[in-house]
Amino acid sequence: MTLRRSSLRALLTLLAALLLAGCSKPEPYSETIIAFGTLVDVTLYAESPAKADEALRMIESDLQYMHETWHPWKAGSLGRMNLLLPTGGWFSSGPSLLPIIGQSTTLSEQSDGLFNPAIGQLVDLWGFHGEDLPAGPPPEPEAIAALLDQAPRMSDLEIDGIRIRSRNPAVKLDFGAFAKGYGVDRVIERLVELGITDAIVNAGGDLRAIGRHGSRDWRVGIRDPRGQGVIASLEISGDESVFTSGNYERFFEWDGKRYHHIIDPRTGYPADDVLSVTVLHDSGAVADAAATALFVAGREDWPRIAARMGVQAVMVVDTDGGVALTPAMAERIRFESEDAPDPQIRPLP
Amino acid sequence: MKRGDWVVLVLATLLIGVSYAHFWTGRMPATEARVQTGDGHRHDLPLEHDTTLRVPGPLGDTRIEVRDGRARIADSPCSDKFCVHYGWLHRGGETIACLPNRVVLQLAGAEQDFDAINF
Repeated sequence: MTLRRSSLRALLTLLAALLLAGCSKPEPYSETIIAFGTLVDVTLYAESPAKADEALRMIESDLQYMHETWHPWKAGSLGRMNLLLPTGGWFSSGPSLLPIIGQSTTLSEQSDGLFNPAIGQLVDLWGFHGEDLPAGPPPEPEAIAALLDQAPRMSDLEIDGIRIRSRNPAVKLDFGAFAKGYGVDRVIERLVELGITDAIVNAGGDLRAIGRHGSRDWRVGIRDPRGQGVIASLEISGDESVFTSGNYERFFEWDGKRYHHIIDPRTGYPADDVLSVTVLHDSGAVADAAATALFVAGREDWPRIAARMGVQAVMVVDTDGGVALTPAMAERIRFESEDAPDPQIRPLP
Repeated sequence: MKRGDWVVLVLATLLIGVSYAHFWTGRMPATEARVQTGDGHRHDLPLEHDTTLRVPGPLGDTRIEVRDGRARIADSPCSDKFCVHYGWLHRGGETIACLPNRVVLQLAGAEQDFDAINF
């Protein structure tokens, strides 16, 4: 009996030890960094607080560098390039700009020009280039038409080694619809270099995550573009990005009409057919550009553009409150809102 | 099997059940609202207690309201009022920020519903 009791005690101790071992997994480290003119929330798992701090400081300086380099009009590499492009002459590009120009040119072509970072002048005209929102009024139709006539596009750029020129003086680069995605990709690259395998980087609502949140997947809530709260959620793991373009992000009102920041390069006016587009993709850069392009494409044409851009998982909420999903998104998404309408499934061509 | 073995078996089964319930299910609701300001101050407001809080920022005071287990930015001196239009936050992990006035409101609980909000 003594033997029995002691073996029982030993077994209970073992069980408790096993449970405690389950509890001693590393705690995540979280920090909010102000960068890119927004809040960047980073949560990562690291072996020690020192390691976590090293990673966070490095991300902070990377983001700061990217923000300065890619700013369309402040003194920096892109600001300088935008001053030189209208001259039509050859000049040397800042080295960090060539990859972002290269990838955005490819994506712009795949999107049929609906994602077009060459329309910086149009963005300026509307006043959406600054950190403060424009107060209105909307630009004169003649001014918009004059810019559309010049049809600036990424393929107007000619690149030879590190030298670049524009064949079209109307090209002004603005990576507002792309820099966050491209930047988040660079941050994740940096974390992987540092040996971090589990992290989520949320740059003002657009995010990429690697690994898992401890013993479960990362849980992402998607804001309801029709009103308040969360419309749906996604569980993501491995390495995935979730990007949303919504008409509620930046806008101004004039004469009772709302003008938001996603400009249709074909009309020169804010695209007005959908409320939001959410894209799930490995690459933050692709997800970011695609969310903008599909938003501009509107509720009829978006599946064609998604297929061209190689994007499989998409949710579109249109201005009538209707929700459309690709089959790949339908498999993953879970609706959280009580009044979620029956989603329509839209297979890609 | 002796009685002790059965006791171990029952206890082990119970432990598995309890730990499963504890670690895998039951997303706990938010229990507090965390308010962070640009000057580095943090205020934690328990959600079971209705209250309002004014926090200073570069533009003026932002008013945070806690009511019926939810929280919101009720008033803000910023120009776009994005934070006010967002409305009530009621789930763990939901966050709203007023960048111009440097105020962040986040709901937190023992277990957060979401690790990130996409918008």
